[in-house]
Order: sequence, then structure tokens, then C-alpha cells
Amino acid sequence: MSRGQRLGVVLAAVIAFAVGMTALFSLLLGDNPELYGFIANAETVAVLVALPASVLVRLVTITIAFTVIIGMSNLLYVHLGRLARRRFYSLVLILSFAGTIYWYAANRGDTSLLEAVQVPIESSLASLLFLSLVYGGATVLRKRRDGWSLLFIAVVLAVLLGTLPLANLAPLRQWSNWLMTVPVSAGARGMLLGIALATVVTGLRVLLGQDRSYRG
Amino acid sequence: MSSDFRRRDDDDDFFADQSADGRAGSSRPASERSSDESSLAAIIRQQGDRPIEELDSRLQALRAKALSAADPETDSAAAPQTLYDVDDVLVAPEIVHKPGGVISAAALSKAQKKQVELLKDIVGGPLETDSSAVPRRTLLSAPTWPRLLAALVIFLAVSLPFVSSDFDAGDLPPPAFGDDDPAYHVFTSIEGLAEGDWVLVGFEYGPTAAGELDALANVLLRHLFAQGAKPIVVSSNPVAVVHARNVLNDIRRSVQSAGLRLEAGQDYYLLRYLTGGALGLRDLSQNFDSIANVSAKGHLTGLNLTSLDEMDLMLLIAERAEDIRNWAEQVAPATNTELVAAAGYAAQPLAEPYVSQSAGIAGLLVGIRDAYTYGEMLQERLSQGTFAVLNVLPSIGTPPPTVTLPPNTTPQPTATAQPTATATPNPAAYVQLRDRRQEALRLDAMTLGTMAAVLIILFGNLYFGLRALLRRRPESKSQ
Repeated sequence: MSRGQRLGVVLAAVIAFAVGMTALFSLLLGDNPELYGFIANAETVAVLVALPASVLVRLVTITIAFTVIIGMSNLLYVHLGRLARRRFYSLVLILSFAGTIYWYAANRGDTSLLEAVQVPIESSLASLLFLSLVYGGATVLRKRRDGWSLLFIAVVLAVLLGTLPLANLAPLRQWSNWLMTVPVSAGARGMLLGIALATVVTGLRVLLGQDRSYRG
Repeated sequence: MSSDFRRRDDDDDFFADQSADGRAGSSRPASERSSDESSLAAIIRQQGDRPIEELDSRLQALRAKALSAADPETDSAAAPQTLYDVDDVLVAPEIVHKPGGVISAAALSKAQKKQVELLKDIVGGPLETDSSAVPRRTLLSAPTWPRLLAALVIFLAVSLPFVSSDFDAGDLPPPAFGDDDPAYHVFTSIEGLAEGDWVLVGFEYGPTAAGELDALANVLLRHLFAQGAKPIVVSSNPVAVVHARNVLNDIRRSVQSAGLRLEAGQDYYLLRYLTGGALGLRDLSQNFDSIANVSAKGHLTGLNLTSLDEMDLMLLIAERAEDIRNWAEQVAPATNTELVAAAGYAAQPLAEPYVSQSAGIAGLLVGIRDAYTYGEMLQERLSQGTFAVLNVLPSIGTPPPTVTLPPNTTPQPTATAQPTATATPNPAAYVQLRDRRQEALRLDAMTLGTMAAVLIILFGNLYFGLRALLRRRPESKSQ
């Protein structure tokens, strides 16, 4: 590694640390005048402390907006290249893209194409997912025959039966509700806590310079 | 499938009853297979490569670079220096070139070999290198028909309510929520709004969930309009912004056809797409004044709002649990305004932990059944005549006065068109929900579809479970 590259590594780490710490403290301490009750202009100080985070968040959202445009341009570029190699699906994509823009421009911002094309297609795909899940559920015991599989099937059946609005299944509905409110809710809380802890750890790794994924 | 792709595997193998030798894949003991066959390297070797020209130019360049780096003829002294940026800390090991490639050197533990067996079962076993030996599956060949049968049963079940009125499956949802139901809190929160109150509406679902959540969005938005509240719609999903516009246009058209006023930019506002997911929502909570200033079409809205605290209610309609989490974590804590939500069934489990006054979401509606009950409660309120808009009807039909400029030139007289009948304003149009019968039929279809799913899962597993038991008995007898 050359000296210039080393300098770049150090500089990137310093900038990431400085920006991260600034955003963190600005978010933690900003917009809370009660923290600065001992100062005469507590409101102003709170706003000033919150300002760096606000500006940084703004910068990020604007940058991400540009990445959307870049992503779209890249998609077009790749498929135009594939078009030269006579790829049929790329032709469909390019024509759909051009057709949608033409429709929107020619019909003064009409967005009914979304309802006419996209909604039915995506709803159909969601329906296929239901079919796949049902068939997957029906073949659980073909692949694996143990206690966990049986428990899985029992819970799936209990939850599905619990959603049925049939008077005969009222006792099962109570059990199904218990499943949703106690074990499922506990699992969901566990997942959310896990996500929160992982987020904190990832943030710390970036701040401490151990995770330098921002260098690409 | 495009002809330039080699046929590597048929996904029907996943559902195939038996492997080619007549035994179920999972029943084959690992000891019967050679270590080479069961290794991860063997699986990888058996996969066919895509044609090189299928890769784009950057990947082709990367491949050429990788091949030159792996070439033993190249300067071996340069090999340990291939770890960019950390070459002082870590020294790259010398790569040993074996006939099977680098991956063949990997040694698998017993547990890993079991996982490999399971993986091979799932993906359908080892690949036949001779594509002509793989029998092509047709629509009616044996491994496909169980799926077709399952699809047919479900299709018939969900179609029955629409073709015959004899299939009323189960009870309709209750006409009202219970007092302690989180869904009831959503209704009372909106019911408590006064004319001119601001409501921030998070419209976080796209076409995939439209079939489920459009019904909820429809009743909630109509309730807001009937209360005289002014929704400000935002979304962190670009497609959802377009869909929201279409949903609002539908409501506007139905209201205007009844002789009432409902105009974008006056009675409701659709703001621009929030980029950045969770960060976009953080931006919304911190810079609401600037975001509220720009509409989805890029025009200035003229809204003079500075903070989320000026909202009287926040309403979130979300498809994914992640969106609910983002709103509960990034938006709700930044304001004192109450947040209520509506979600699909899939998002419910992860949304539940946030449903409480302290956790962020004060009330929650879930799925089509809650939409139906909500609609019934709206109809009940309509019959009672308690909506704010109904009491101030004359002012609703009158557009706001505009400044009239003196004419510079006298226009030529034009022929007056024949007068058309003016529709008598019908205030009920705000909450007049169409197709209540259709909603009931959809619920019946859902019920029958669920019953079909239960039966398929039950019988499928009974069949496979019994089959496995029957096969195990002869094996134990022979031992």
C-alpha cells in the first residue's frame, strides 16, 4: 500500500468517526431545552445542538435520492447493452419503460397504468405465494419427520383454524389468540431486541473504525 | 426459459416423491454415499456455469483478473500481497491448486455433512450432467399433479361464494369493535377530530398489498373526510405515493359525483416521496416544515406547518412490519401527537409489541375483517348523522372566493350550453361505501380458502407421514 493510500484510509476513518459522533451527540442532546435549563437561551441552544444531525440527515436523504436516479440509469444502461445481444426480456423492459413515460406525459400525469397493470400482477404473485405456502405446508412430513415438524404443523393448523369465523371453533380461537399474543409476541419482541442490539453493535463498530464498509 | 441457459435443475424435484432409485431422498443414510458425493465441493462442481458472455463487461473483466491472479504461472511472490489495505496485518495464505479447485480442500464435519444431505434433498439431489437423461416434466406428469390438484381445490374454494349464494361460509365480522380492542381506539381517535384538524397519513404499502389494505385505506380516509379533517399523505415507498394518489382520486370522484367538494391541495395534500427509508422518516420528524412544503408533483403546497406537533393525529397504513417499526421508532418519539396504525395480517405479529400508548402506536387495525367492521361502524354513524361534515354541508359545496381581475378586453359572446341537471349534494357520499356485498363475498372466499388450505395441509401430511411409517416397517422387519 502506498503512502497516499494509507493516508486515505486514516482520513476516511477520521471523517467517519467525526461525522458519526457529531450525529450521535446531536441526536441525543439536541431539541431538548430542559437539558440546558441552566442557560438563559436554552431553546436556542437546543436548536443549535440539533442542527448538525438535521443537516446530516438531510444530506443523506438527498444523496439517496440521487442514487435512485443512478440506479435507474444503470438499469437502462445494462439492458440497452443486452439489447445489442438480442435479449428479448431486455427489449420488453426498455419498451415498458418508454411506454410508461410516454403514457404519463401524454395523459397529463395519469397513473392509472399502475392500477391496471402493476396491482393485478403483484396481487397475483401474492396469491401464488399463498399456494406455494400451502403446498409447502402439506409436504413438511415428506422431507422431515420429527417432533419439530409435527409441532410446526399443529401450530399452523391451530392458527389457520383459529381465524375461521365458525361458531364451532370458538374454543380453538381462544387458543389461537393465546398463541398470537403470548409466544408469537414474545418471539417478536425477542427479534426486535436483537435487531436493536445488532444496530447498536454495528454503529459502535463503525464509530470505532472496526467496520470500514463505507470505503466500498 | 431462455435457450442460452443450460437446464441445470428442475424445481419440480423439490416436490418429487422419490428419487430416481425409488427411495425417498431423506431416507438414504449418509453412509451409503461416498464422501466425495456428499461434499459441498461435489455439489458445486456439479452445477453448470452460465455462459461467460452472459456476464456484463465489468464482471468479465473481474473474471479475467481473477483467473490471471490464480494462474500458478504468474509471479508467486506477488500472491501474499493480494489483500488490499490489510497486507501488513494479515498475510494471505498460499493457495494450493488441486484438481477439484480450492473448495475441494474444505473438510466437512459430520454435522455439516448432514446439512449437505438436507440441502441436497431440498434442491433435488445431485445434478445429472447429461441433460438428455433428465425426463422433461409436462403439465400432467406425476410430480406436478399434486400441486395442480391443490391449486384447483383452492381456486374452487375461493370462487364458490362468487358463483353461488349457497356458500355463506361462517359468520361475518362483528358490526362493532369491543371497547378494549386496539382497533376501537383507532375509530375513537378519528371520531374525536374536528373540522380543519390536520392528520399526517403514512401510506406505506404498494401494489402487492393493495388487495388487502385498499379496503382499510378507503374506510379510514373516508372517515377523515367525513370528520372534516385534512389528511397530509406521505410515504417512504415511491410506488405507494402513486397508489395513494389513485386511491384518493377514487374517493374524490365518488364524492364529487354526489355534488360535494373534495380537492387536492385544499382538502387533502399528497407530499413527495421520502427517500432513505428509516432516515427519510427521521428527516420527516426533524424537517417537517420543508417536507410539507412540496407536493408529490413538485409544486409548493403553501402549508405553513413547522412541526409534527401541529398534527392532531398520525395515521399509518403499512404493509410491512419494518415500516411500522420505523414509524414507531423514528417518528412517534419525536412528537406528542398520537400515532394509530392499520396493517396487513403478515405485519401483525411484529406490530403487536408496539401497540400501547407508551410503545408508540395507540391503536391497530388488522386486515380485511377489521376493515369490514370499521365500515359497519361508519354506516352506523352515518345513520345517526353525527359526522361534522354533514352538519356544515352548505359551506362544503361552496368553493373559496378568488380574486377577480377586471377584464382588459370584452370577450365575444358565446353560445350558452344547455343547462344540465345539478346533482343535489349528498353528504352521505363521504362515507358511502360501495360494494358491501362484494366485501362480504370476499370474506366468505377467504374463509373457504382457509378451510381448503387446512384440509390440504392436513391430508398432505397424513399421507406422507403414513407412507413413511409403512416404509419403515418392512425395513425393520428385514433387519
